[in-house]
Amino acid sequence: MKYLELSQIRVDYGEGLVVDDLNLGVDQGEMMVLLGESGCGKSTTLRVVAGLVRPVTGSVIIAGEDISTFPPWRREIGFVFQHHALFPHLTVEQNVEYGLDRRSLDRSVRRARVQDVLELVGMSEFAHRKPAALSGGQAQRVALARALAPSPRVLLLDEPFSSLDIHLAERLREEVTRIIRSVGVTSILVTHNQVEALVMADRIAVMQSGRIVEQATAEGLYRSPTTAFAAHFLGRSNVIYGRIEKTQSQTSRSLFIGGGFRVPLRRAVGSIPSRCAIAVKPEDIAIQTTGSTAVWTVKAEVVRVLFVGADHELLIRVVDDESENTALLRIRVHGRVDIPPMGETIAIWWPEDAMSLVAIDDPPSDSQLAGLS
Amino acid sequence: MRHRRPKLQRQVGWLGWRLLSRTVLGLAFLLVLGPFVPVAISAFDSGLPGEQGFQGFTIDWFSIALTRPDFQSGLIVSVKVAGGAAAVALLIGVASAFAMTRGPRWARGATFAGFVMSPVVIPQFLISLAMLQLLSVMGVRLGIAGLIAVHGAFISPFVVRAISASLADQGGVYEWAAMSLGADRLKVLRTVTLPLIRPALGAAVIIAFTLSFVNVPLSLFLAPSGARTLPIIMFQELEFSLSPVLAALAVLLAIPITGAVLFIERIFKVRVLT
Repeated sequence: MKYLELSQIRVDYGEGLVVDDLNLGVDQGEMMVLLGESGCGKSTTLRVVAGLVRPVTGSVIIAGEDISTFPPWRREIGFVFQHHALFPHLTVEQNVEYGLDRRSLDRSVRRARVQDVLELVGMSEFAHRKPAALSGGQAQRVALARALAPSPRVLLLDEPFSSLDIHLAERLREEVTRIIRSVGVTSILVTHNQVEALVMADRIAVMQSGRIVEQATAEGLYRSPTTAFAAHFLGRSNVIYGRIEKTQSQTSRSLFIGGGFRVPLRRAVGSIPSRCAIAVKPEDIAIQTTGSTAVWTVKAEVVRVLFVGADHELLIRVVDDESENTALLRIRVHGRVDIPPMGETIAIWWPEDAMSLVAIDDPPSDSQLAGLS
Repeated sequence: MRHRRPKLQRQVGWLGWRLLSRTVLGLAFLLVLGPFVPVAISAFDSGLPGEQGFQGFTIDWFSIALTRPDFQSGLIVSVKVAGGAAAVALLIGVASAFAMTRGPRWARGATFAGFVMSPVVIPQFLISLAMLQLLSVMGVRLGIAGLIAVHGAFISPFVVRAISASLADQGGVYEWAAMSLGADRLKVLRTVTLPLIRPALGAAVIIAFTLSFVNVPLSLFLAPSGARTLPIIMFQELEFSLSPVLAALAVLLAIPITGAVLFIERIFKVRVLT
């Protein structure tokens, strides 16, 4: 039994299901990240937890208590919004104090609590300012303090850094992660930013059109995704569509064929799907040099070279006369190494553990077949 | 060296267009405000109606305007009606604005908005005439309370517009934030929603009061004979003479009304005049 459980949540705003039969469990003290493109229903899911949106079906359970019928103000849930949503007519201090119950807490207790949380987020000296006089980052800190002040059972963060500039967002997400972990509050963060998800999450749930496609630890999801969507969304894996054939050769038990590749697989593949795909991260694809230990290689032509700072990003097309659907792959080469120029033919390979076998539910589109998705 | 502001290419930058738009604007101002100039001058003119030219400066007309008992009672009635109508309009308008921005789906659609805003497009003259006929057939006499209700109903769209714009601007996110912090609906309304629409409420009150205060078509037919509003008394006075007293009164009325509008523009940072 998880601390927070969502089961069979369906939400319909009147134009079809936005959230479709969603199930999610979060352990106590865990930071869960809902990752997905805009419009995939992740923010709506948060609102369901907070009681701001009423689902068509489904239940929300916290610590064994079904709170599905509770109004938002009785749920004891903290919410940090994308644009901080600090009350503009109240000072920072009054904003933070807003959620503290006047009946059960003395004025002195409330003041002390406000001081504590403002200190926690490093905003003590701004206590008497109005939100309009704060920068975006400061406002978001206050918003976090305000949400944490009443000691919520669950903290929800809806794209809290997406309205900040990139450097500030990076700094703030580390700080917020530290604060949330020090408080130990169970939390769900919604984002479309994969780096943010990887940095902040204990576990990541990838969402697509109202469903959770896959969930795992950050590293697990990045290293070995099991769906094409998650593989591409996290780390922009190259997804190559094809099929698997059994072999009895000495070097491999089966063979992946597709996109111009014939990749031997040493590990056994249980039930062999007629159609499947493999996912390989751009940084895991190696360019063959003399003396490398490649078991197999495939020839590819460099189509485009992009300099992206620490890395070079190369777009390459597999050269294969037999197959029409040759894959277009993205590879990343790190550091100051010789980068093959455009038009050059190179040989590539990757270690077997860099490759994940992923499920495909929809038939691949033409662009996916070409390796671009 | 002083830097010149870089010139931006804009649609309105075209000379011909600029000239045209300024001419039209100027003419409009002239048409609306121009006639007021001779009226304002005649209020200070000691000559009687019919005499040509400015005969001499006087403020006698003002003292007459201020001391005439029918004007005084008319002013009291007008203030009562306008105050009551503003209250009624606020009640209808704020409720409708909430329904249109926070309410159920049907209330957020164009049909409901059309219904709520309809008093703006229906000629008041026709409605008040029809209402007068209907009431006389039914044998009902409309008192001052009735007049207040009718004024309020017809002014409410302006309140709706001010409040719903403010509510829509605000969005629901502050209310959501308050709710997630443990505030029930009443506390959200009291501590978040109302404080945030306070400027719009202030503006709406002043607009509503002013619109009722200057209203003629509704009051003309529906004001009870014992409680005529100031504009109606002025209107009836006009039938006898173009008295400089009326001009003085017009000047006296223009000052607080313009003042009130400027006040809400400055204080509440909303645009009413422009």
